[in-house]
Amino acid sequence: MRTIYLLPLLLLFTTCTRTDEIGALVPPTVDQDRSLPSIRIDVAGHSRLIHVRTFGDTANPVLFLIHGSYSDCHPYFNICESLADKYYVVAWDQRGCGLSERITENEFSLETAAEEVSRMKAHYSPHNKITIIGQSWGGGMATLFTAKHPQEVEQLVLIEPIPLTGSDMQQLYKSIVEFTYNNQSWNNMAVQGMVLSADDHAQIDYRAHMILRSNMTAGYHCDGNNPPVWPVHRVGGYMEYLRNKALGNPVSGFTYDFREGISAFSDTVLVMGGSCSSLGYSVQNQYTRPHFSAAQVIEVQNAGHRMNIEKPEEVISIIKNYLNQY
Amino acid sequence: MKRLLFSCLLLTGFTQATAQDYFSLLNPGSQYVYAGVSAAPALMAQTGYAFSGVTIKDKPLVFTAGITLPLFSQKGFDAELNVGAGYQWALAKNWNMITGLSWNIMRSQDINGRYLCSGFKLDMLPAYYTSHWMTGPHLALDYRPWLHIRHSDYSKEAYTGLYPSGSGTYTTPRDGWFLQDNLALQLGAGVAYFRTHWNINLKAGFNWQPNRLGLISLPDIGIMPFYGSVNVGYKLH
Repeated sequence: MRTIYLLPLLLLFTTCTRTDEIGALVPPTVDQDRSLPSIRIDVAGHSRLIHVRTFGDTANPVLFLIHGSYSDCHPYFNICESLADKYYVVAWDQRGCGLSERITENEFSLETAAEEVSRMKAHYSPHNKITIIGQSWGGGMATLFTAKHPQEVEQLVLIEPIPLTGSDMQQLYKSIVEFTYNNQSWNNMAVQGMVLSADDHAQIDYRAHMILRSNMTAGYHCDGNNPPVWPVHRVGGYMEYLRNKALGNPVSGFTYDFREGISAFSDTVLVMGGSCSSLGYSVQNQYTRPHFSAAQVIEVQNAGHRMNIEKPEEVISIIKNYLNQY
Repeated sequence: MKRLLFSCLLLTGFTQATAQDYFSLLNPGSQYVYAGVSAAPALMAQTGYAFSGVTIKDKPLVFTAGITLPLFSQKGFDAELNVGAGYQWALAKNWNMITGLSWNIMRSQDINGRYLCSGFKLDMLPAYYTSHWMTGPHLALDYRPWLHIRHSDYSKEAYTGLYPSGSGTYTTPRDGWFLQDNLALQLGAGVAYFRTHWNINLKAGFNWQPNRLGLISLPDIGIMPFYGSVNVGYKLH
């Protein structure tokens, strides 16, 4: 008789899918599904598979597109496709992000972020300069690489980069990060934590995906309660933890410096800022422009941080006006 | 008033698991109600009922039923129902231990999907008692292995355009019943002030949800290593 009662429980334990089963909650990473396009690079002493998408003719000059935080390269495909007539555009999911293989804590630092770009350059353009477009965190990463290797960069485009120094971030932090404990979006994520454990990367990425539609980053958008769709395949939740740790925090201080050495890069840098974003035109003009020998700061009207989705034609037009190949 | 309530919530800290109130054991009687607020770390309100009709070694065994509602995260109807039983063990002179075991089922909904989750929670509160006060360490184990997910369109859209060739193995997230290692361990302290007909109690401390990445805190997505709750209970009969 007892067996009858135990049977449904036993069935429930043995027949259910586990939340960490590949592809159950979020798309697989390239090491989990080898049919996804990838290359292997060695960074920080570890060999990792990177999800890469390329656009255009390999004979064209190489252009790297570096994505921001809580993102992968997918939302930037409209820029990639538009520039594919004159460039060989390479967009990839950074280590630990999107569909790229996950990494461990000791594999990430600002130095290894720059090393990652170096490895990608070594793979795609070992002998020629590259042009880089970086958005948000990707703008910081692009600046970091350019500052370390100014002779390897042809042109640099920054779409609303994060503050390039820790002291800038310290001053701007309160205006770009808004958080209150009674925020509905944040509470939604916390409630999800009660039902779905953040046990591994997939579960963390699943929850972190919610941030993209939340009003926690309202200041970045023209309509903070209805942010533009940001069509990622998968974010890298754990990478955000590692990045935050590497950048510092407002209490102990932000100590990073992306632009140390950037003065050796003498070409004009294109910096774009939206009219709505808390990292928009006025911030870029005041904080980012002075870090470069020459910078052109352009405002994109009625656009926020996700300007390539909100105003694709304007953004692509501005980029083409700047790039040498057009 | 709202600010005061919010300050109280912040002072109590945050808990992964919601609070089941066994403090009715401090007010022996047959029927008891309670209400309070907690943070999980989502801000929650809870209320419930306790009934006692059985005694074991002259101590009442109470049966409880409660409901917990998120205060700010409602999308559809989010709620947790729990039923449980509690008993107060006599350890030594002035030392007793409240022990409770509850079964809970939670329904919630967010932009990623709809969830139904179930599991058990064991609470232990060995405490030193005076005539109106009790205080001691609080230990709890919350295990919620069963989960049903129905993914939203938002969640499904992440799989769109995944394969350059247009086809591949993984084309959508999986709906249905899941098993998971959803365990939360709590180590903190509890304190209560009680009179004949009522009590006010507080629990707060460190919350740890074991995970394979060794993450203790990731506030961006609602992972915080603290828990807390404040409840007020009243004896009806």
